[in-house]
Amino acid sequence: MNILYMILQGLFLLFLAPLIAGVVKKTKALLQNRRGPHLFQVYRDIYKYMKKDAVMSEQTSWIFVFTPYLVFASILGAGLMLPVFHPVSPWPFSSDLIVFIYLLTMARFFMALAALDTGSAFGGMGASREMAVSSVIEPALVVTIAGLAFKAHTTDLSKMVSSFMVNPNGIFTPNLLLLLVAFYIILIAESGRIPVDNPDTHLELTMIHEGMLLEYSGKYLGLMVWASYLKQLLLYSIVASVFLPWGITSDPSLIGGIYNLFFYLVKVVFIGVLVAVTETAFVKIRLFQIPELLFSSLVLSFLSILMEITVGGR
Amino acid sequence: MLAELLYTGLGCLIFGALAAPLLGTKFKKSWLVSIGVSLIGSLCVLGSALQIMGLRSPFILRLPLSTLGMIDQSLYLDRLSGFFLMVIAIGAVLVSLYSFGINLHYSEAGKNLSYFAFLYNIFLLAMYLVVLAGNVVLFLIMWEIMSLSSYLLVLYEHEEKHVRQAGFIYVVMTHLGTVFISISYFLLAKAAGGLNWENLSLVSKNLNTGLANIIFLLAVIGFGTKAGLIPLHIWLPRAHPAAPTNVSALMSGVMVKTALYGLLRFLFTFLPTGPWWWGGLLLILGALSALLGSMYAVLQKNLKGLLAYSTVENMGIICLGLGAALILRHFQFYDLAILAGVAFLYHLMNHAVFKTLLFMGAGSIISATHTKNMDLLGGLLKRMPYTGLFFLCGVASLVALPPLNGFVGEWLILKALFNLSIAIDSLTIKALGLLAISVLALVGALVATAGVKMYGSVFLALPRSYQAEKARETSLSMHIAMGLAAFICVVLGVLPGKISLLLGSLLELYWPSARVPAQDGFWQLCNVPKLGGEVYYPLFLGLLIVIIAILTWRLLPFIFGQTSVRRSETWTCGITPDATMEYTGTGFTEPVRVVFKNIFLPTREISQIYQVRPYFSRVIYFRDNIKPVIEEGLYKPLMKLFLAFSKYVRRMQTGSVQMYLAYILITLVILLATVR
Repeated sequence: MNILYMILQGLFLLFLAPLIAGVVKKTKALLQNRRGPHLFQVYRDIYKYMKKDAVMSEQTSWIFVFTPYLVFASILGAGLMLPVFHPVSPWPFSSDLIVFIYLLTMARFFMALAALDTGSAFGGMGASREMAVSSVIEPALVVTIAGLAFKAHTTDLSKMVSSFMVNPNGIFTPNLLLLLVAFYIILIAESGRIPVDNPDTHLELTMIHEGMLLEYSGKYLGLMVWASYLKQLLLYSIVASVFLPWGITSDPSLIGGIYNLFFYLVKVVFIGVLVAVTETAFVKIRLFQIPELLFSSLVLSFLSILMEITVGGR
Repeated sequence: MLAELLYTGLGCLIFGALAAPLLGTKFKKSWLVSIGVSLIGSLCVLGSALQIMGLRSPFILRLPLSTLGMIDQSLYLDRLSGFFLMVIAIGAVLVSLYSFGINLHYSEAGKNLSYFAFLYNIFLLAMYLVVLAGNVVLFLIMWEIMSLSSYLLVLYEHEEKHVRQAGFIYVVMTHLGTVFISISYFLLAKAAGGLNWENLSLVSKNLNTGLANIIFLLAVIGFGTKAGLIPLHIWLPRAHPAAPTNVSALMSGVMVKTALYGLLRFLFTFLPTGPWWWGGLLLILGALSALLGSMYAVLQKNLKGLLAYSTVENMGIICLGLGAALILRHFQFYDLAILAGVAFLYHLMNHAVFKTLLFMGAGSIISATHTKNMDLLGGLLKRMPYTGLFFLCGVASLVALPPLNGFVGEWLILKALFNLSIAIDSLTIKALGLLAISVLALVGALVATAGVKMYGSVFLALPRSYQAEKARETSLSMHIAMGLAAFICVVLGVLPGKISLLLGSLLELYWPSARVPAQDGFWQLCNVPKLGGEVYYPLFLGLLIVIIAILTWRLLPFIFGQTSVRRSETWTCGITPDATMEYTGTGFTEPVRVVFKNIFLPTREISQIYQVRPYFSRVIYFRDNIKPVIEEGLYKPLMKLFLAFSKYVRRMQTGSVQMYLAYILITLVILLATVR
């Protein structure tokens, strides 16, 4: 039963991720008075990558071939820790947020290695920037999790959601709202969106994540791109289930599942639109201003925790 | 049985120490015998260590020397010494195996290996006896022998000036540390009225708080020097890279742990109850060491230098866990304290294994390429596939990727800090805990950067120098040692259950009134101890990822049809790819250096010689450096003060014998008058 549930959620997330990416692209285009690509264009792109023959650099080693599979698997594995159909995640052995972010770190680590493996300056540039930015993201992210743990007394995602969903309007406390803003900044940075990184460009002055994928082609590129959309969806899902705990029921029946799924989709699409708005409203900032942005996220989380300690979050 | 096994092990080492120089005149390969004997000896010690860890109460073993009417010397065997004995013995077994191969390289270079083999055995023997000693005198003698033999081993390549300098700083700092340790022990022994551990363990009841605090502070300074805690670390990043690689593996992986043993002996046995700020002090020292250690590690060009700074960082992480455990215990959260204790002991063990592995890997790389500069390496994964694979395993452990062992330790320590800041109802401690959490997260990301830099610039892409291009895979014994270490990393990573229970039962002995939550059957093998409900089954997580990866690999062609792969060169905008186009390690970490420029205080000089001003330059000189804050800010003023004082004292040294006799007389009179 559990295995079925896992397979179902894994496939669902895999199929949803390109759609959400399409929603963001489409919304952004509409906001910019363009018609934009078709909502399903991302699916077509991935299908195209998968069908194409690949060109692989002679300079690379087995790390380069091994990385796309590992990145894809670790991000999909992290996806099984999220509560989507039910407040309890399908992966029974751990839905701890720390384990979750270390899985993402693993994906990032191998992606950076693969980028260096090609010996191209673009790969090195992307990897170098990605690691530098991640070193400011990580503290902000972990302190935000600490803020959530102060509220829920656990870092386990399933338990956190179960405790927040009882009183969804409890989100309207100043400290949780501060945490939400803090997490949103991290979400933007982690999923490589403007103002931190521009996902639509291969211009070497601005690129971070794209630089690392530059030497990939064919199904390897397909896997990497799919994995990055998946990672974006996972971050949205955390916001959807932790910070917007409406429309979640612990009813284990089919009806309950459909109810959860419906609201989950609404929330995720809403966050996607929000990200598109953010992308349109802001400009990309300089690389060395990113730490300041993330530092503000860290400070917000600290403020939230201070509030929780002193006035108990009321 | 236990005593016999232990004596056999220690006897082997004594034999090994003597064998090399005595047989050395007869045949040249005598060092092989020595290293072989040290391997057997360390295996015996490992066996006895496992037995000691099963002991319920301390077992006191009188040394045979005691019957000769010398000072009553005994070994004190309990779970704490057993645990450290085990950690040291594992490191020693791995490094001894490795030494067969690496020493061949030294012997080809015309080095005197019987000298090496003698010191190597003495060094191992001294480390074992440091953790086994049951008496202040024996402990201090062994501590000194350990320091001196490692100092002489650091000087093994004494032809180079930087090695001599590193050795000098090491020997000065380590003796400074020993002074503090000795004073601390003597104060304790004076209060206890005896020199044996049994006497000292009873002292805490009739010790006033002020004296206890002083003893604790002295011990922290003394052992902190050996452990390389910032700001007492300055010897570590110099001495560890300068030593021959198998010795640096032992020093970084294992020797620094003896300092933690010393500290834990104080905190567990002699001074089991202290105020909470003891833990707080360790927490702050740990956070500082972890933070600065990882930052300087990121910017290192020298492969062994990076690993040495990462040792500073890991000792810091261990101290974070220790501090959290002490504070939790003081506030009577006994269960959480034990879990925090398990966390730092686990990380200590992990660090011993993966740091030994990484140093062994570094040794293979250096012996194959003859350079430590990462900016001159590259492309070694194709030339040294086995070394590359094992080294990747070590780096992944260092970076704490699940499901490897590094992650278990870091996860547990992070959880301990979460518990610390949530459970205890004090704003100061909550703030300390949160600060430690954010430091640990930052450290994790910085270490990941350092790991990518290290692996990427050494093993991946195109070789950046002739030596790297000509590198060949090293010998079998080195592969076996590294493979074994990598295997231990994986096992400690995926099956943490049994081992953490063992560590829990160790702690229960010293911190009664709490227990590690027991779990049953198969599950207990795979899970880490439960901490407030969060679980993590690394074995299953690892399997999940492997299964998904394999399924993806098999299913993709099945779903989308077969595709082919064509090999071609990397796209470099139309020019032939060349190693000079790659990012070097230094270039890779430039963004980090800019982001944290307030800590690194980088300086940069660029000068150009022009052919036609200002557009065509013939030569560009570039030099960049970072300002070592602690050396400049703390040690330089201290040195100045010391030199000024020495100048003052010099006036007493007139050189006339009569004057000196007068000094002796005056001292004697003063002593007679004051001391009775």
